[in-house]
Amino acid sequence: MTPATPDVDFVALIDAYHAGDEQARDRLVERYMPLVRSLAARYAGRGEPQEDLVQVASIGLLLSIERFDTSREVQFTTYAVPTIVGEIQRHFRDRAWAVHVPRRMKELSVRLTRAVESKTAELGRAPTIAELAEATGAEEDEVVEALHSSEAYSTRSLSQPLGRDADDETMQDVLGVEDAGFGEVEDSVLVEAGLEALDERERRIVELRFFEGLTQSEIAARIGISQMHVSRLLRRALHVMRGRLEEAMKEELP
Amino acid sequence: MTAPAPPGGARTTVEFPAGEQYRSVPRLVLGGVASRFELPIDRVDDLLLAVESLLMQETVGGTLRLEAEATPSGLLVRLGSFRPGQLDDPGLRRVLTPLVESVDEQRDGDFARIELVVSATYRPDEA
Repeated sequence: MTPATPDVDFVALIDAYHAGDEQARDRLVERYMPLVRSLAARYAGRGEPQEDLVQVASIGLLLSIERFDTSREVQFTTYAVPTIVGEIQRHFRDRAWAVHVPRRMKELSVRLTRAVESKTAELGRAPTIAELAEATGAEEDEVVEALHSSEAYSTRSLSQPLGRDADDETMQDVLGVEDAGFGEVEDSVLVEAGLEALDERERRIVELRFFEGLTQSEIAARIGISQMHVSRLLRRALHVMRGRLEEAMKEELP
Repeated sequence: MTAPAPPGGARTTVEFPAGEQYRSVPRLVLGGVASRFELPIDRVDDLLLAVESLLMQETVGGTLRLEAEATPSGLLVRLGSFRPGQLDDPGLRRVLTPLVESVDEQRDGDFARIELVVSATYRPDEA
């Protein structure tokens, strides 16, 4: 570790603040705000307003100033950076828990993913909720909740408008060309645009599920992946198609 | 093979406001009800997808009613009210048909309820 360079002015300010001089703290805050903004900027684009992140990071700076011991042979920034980053990360963690899923549910979801795959291999079919509860040691209600919170269990309606307007065409409009074969359905410009957005495997899964009527487990067995993976791919495929169809419809607009 | 439905039936009924922010309500309820059946999770997933698709249809009134009932043939789900003629839409049928065993529309005057049936064995409470 590089020995700390004595910063007489900094040490004087810290000592003054610890002796009760609020103005000394304000000067320290002013001095290190560029560091705060820089660290907050690293977390930009993750769904939180930048000003909120700067505020949270500022709390980390204040804590650092409060706790820093000038007798330690470390640079203030060496001490402050992990404290500030820790505050930002705690903010994201708390927000995620508040808005989404408790940690224990996330942990159970991870265990469930493994359990679904192992039980499917063992049983030759997708397991029931009771079987998953037994395999993970969780209560059945917890399994329901964890599955609900996981991507594999989150459903995406096929009748959501493909565009932004409520009157826009939906996935089921696209899929519901009565008695049309897959080839005929493909003739639709919009459907073609959507299907072309998929890779070969996703396209095949959509075809097997909605045109040939195979179950997720049957598709899994045929393609050689897990049922939960089929579920994820199916939903991802629908999501991709929806995005591509939306783009196609925009291009169709005068 | 199906087990007999429990005495007095096992019907769960929930009413919830129509609207996207309440769509997790039927998912959680049906997930819980489905746990009372010998129903693989991929079929639970399909049922939820079917219900989600119905929830996007034009509803009548601001409240939706969901009933889930254990029957000798399996799990019966009723959802409504909708404008009659929903299943005349071939697109909706195309989506629902592969997801559940049967789909039916029960009309009641100006309203309609959609019935979905999933074949499954009811799991009686353990002693």
